[in-house]
Amino acid sequence: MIASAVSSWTVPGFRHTALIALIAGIGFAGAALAVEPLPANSRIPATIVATLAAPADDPMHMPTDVALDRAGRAYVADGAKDRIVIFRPDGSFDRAVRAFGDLELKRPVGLFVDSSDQLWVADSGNHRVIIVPPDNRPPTTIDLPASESGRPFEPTDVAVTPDGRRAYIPDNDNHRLAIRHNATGTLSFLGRFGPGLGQFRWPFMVAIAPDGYVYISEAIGARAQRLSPQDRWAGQVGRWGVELGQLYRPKGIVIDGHGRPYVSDSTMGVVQVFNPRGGVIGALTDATGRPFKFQHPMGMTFDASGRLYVVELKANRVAIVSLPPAFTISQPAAQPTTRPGEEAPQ
Amino acid sequence: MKRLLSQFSVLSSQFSVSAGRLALALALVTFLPFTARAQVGLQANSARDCAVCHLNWVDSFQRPRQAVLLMDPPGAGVVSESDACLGCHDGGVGDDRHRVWGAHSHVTGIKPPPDMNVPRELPLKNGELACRTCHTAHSGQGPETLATTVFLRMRNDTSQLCVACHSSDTYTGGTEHGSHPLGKMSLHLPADLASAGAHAGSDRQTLTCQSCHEPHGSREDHLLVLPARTSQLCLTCHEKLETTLWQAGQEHVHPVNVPLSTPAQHQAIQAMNTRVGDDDRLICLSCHKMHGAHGGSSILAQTVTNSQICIDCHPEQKPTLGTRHDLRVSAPDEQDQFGRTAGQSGPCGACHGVHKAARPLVTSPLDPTGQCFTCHREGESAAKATGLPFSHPTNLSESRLAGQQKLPLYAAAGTPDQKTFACLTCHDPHQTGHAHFLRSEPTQICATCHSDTLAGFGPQHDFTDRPELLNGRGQNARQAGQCGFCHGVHNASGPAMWVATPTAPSNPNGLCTECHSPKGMARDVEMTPLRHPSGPTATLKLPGVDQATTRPAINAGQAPLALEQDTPGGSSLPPYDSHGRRSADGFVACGSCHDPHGGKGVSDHMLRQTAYAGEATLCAACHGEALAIKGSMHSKRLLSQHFEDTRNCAPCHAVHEKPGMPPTGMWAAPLGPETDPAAFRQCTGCHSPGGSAPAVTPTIHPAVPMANLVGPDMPGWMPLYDEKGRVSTTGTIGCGTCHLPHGPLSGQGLPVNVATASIEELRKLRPMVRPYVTPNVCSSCHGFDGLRRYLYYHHPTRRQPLPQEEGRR
Repeated sequence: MIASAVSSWTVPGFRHTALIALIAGIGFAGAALAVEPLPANSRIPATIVATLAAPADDPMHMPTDVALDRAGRAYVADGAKDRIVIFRPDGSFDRAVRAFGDLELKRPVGLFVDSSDQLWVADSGNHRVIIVPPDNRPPTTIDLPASESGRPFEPTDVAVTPDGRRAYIPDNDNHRLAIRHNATGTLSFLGRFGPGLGQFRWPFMVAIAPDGYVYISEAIGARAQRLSPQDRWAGQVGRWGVELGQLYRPKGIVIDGHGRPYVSDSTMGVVQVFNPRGGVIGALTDATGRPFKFQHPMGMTFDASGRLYVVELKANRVAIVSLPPAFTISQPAAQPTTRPGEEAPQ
Repeated sequence: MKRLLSQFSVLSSQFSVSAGRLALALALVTFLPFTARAQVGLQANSARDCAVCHLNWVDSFQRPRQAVLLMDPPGAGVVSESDACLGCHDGGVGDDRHRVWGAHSHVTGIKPPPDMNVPRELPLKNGELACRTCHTAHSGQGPETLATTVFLRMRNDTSQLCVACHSSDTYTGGTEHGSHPLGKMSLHLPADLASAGAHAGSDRQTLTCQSCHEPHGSREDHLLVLPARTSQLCLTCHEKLETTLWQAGQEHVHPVNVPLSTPAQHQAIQAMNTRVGDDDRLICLSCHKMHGAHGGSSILAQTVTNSQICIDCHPEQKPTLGTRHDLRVSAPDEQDQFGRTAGQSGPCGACHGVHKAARPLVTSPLDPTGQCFTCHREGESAAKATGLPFSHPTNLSESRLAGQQKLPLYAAAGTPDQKTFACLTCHDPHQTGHAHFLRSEPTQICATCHSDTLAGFGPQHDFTDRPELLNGRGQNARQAGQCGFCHGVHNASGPAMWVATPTAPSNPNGLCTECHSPKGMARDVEMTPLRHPSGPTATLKLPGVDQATTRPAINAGQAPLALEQDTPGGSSLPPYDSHGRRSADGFVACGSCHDPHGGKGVSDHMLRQTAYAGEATLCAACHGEALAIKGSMHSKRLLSQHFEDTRNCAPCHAVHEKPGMPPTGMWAAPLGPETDPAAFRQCTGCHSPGGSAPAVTPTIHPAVPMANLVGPDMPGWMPLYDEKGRVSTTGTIGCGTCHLPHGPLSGQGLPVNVATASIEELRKLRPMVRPYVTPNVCSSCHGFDGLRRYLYYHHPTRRQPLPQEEGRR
């Protein structure tokens, strides 16, 4: 259901005292300053035009990612409840799925819909990726191996190249990126723990630009690294900090039609936009020009009309954000499909 | 180094911004490169690594006017906030959303209760519990590595952290203080529990708080790792600890997970402040409290003194307290198999172990549950009340059991499909309203199965109003009950479970004569000498008489013989064997005719009611051939004009001796003159001048040797009599040779209604005369002239020999 774009700071069951303190900046001696409006050229005015939320009697609990299929259905990873929540194209709640066929979900974190309209689920708690084809074909899985140290593979996201030949899967706890070669089913790995280029500190989410470059956000590394289609490291987006162009706890990442990476920061509650080479373009701002504050923003995606979907973990919802025309791209019209357990559209 | 790091942490949280800067700088330069590497085992990045959590230490906040900040500066205590944790534990570094931020998690944001002493080592935030109270990244207290640490401020492998606050005896005092014990177990933490998130000590055998509670991530209330509402949490361990004690659903084990069934049970649970499961089902925690229970190894929610915890839910059993079944009274030193006296276990617990029978069950055919014999047997506390020998038959018939639903029955030993009764059929150890813990009044219990016997029970043998009468056990009927005055279910002797007199009857008639004798209790109803044949030597045995076999023989071809007055549904007369038991091959005894359980509404010597309760009454049940008397000139209707007593074949016959009777036999009517032949006297007693009946002229056949060539099984049989009047194949003619004192023979129908026909009408039919059927005793000598001589036997002139016959002589 699409609700009005008024965000609420009250999250049932959540201890939000700290959040209030965090936002208000109280308690920091000599620094009772509110954040200033951003420079005009760094402002990207944003407005929440709708939200996706599950029914109040069974709400989502700290969702992490969102993906849209061709028909405009939204899939939201509600991993704390071991499920994926599906919303209809009109934004209304459809249903919650705890299993695809016999494959029960366990703390799914990341989602992706590929160019074939297949839903890819980073089923983190089960250390696997589930591929759910459209048209009621049975789902398949990619069982992911533990690291040499024995630590289980912890997939937190997945992204698939438009040609479907590669899937990029961050192994969060093992500080590496897995590349699955879908034609052969083999896996190769990049990265190890560290602050350098090509090293990771808890890689979290991944996105693929139109030019084939891959961006991987690092929760503690506080950046998004850029990987060329030839598997060469090609710089990074953002660096550690709390200023414009810096990242403190980057989580979600999505690339627009112009190849601009958008990175959400859960601690700062902002979404920043960079150019492909890493320079900051700006941040989503509210009407005052100050950074638009999301409630613990996580995974993101664009819809066909260029609206940005931002998962707000602490608000237990997905915010649908309208951006200025310069940041809005058009995408091909969706072709409705069905998935296992769904009825074919009439 | 750990200590230094800890100190740094404390200091930095206390300093002002300027001091904090200094501390931060010092720390970053001095300590962190070492500590971080040592603690985490990963490469550290000095200031930035600290600011990963200490957001407020990010340098940009110190120069806000030179930086384009994206967020407001946080407060100093931001690190201890939930948000700081969530920044990483939202899946970005670790995914603890379901654990830490789930529905059930250790409470924060509240002040500890006044009686809780939170140690200084566990800092509050503004006096309230916070994440920092238990967690810190700098404690270094535990053996954990970064991979396993939960950043606890104290080790918690033996609940140290938990009991630092939850320190009262309620939590740590053990069973003596009403708390579930902690510490060493005899088993490893069950895998089911561990997989649910429970933790034991490092040896996996030390029970800790976290063996039951999970401070973060529990799906159950009270932070329990498994549901208590189905007793699953408790049984996961205790089924393994005491496999014999937790056979829920078995006999002698208190049921669990069953719905509460009475308001009292709901009230009791509420009063104890314990819990029920889903759908108000009884669970372990309905009776037990893990914290704050009454002292004792069972950590019960209520005391077992006086079995209060039992009685609260089962108040209907309270009357048992103080009775002989309260072993505190009857066997205070007796110990159950757990070594407890009734004083220790409570009176209920003396028998009911709740999770196992408190005593070894000693089963027997009479006590298939074994609950009674465990005490009521030789060598045990209730040896004086074994109830043995058991006198009542146990081979109950299906017909006897049919429809009996009031008393519990049990499967017979060896034949589970066969129901029989046991101690608990009649007794209820908790029922104190009646003697001997009987389920109801003794007579009422008997009547449950013997309702037919008691249906006609009259006042004659009901001695409840005669308390002066004592039975063989010295009890009067009020004490023993109507039935129990004569019959004993336990320890009776003689036939019919006899207890009425101290001496058991030696034969079936003794069942009556033990009392109905000159020295017996019923001497005022003394039995006159019996003239009817009786006993095993009697020549006449009852053939298992019933109307199905007797009536057709009597009534064959005699439809007009009106038996409409018969009472349908009468019972047959029971024969007895020498032991006093009813037997189809038995003989006539007192009980054949008299019903000691009868007499209700009938005072005629408690005679049994039969289908022939009409004119010929009881006698016809066996002597069916005499029933035809109803159609004779000797019918009760006619005899009653001359005799006062016409019951039961009187006035001619008497079962018991009457005054004036001959010394032997059952003849009770007047006998004719002694000068008459014996074969005449029973008739001439009335049929003589001055007698009550028309006089007849005795006719004596010439004294010639006579032999009856026609047997009694032949239609022309006419008996001859010897000199003593007995039927004989040789002898002479008596009245009975030609006359039928009991009326028409079988098959000889009468064309009138005998009930309403006049004497004249009956006489014309000559019902008292045998039909003349040859060959017979007359035709044997007189040939064709036999009929004339038969017809004119009493007319000398008319019976004279015919001339040709005379000439033939």
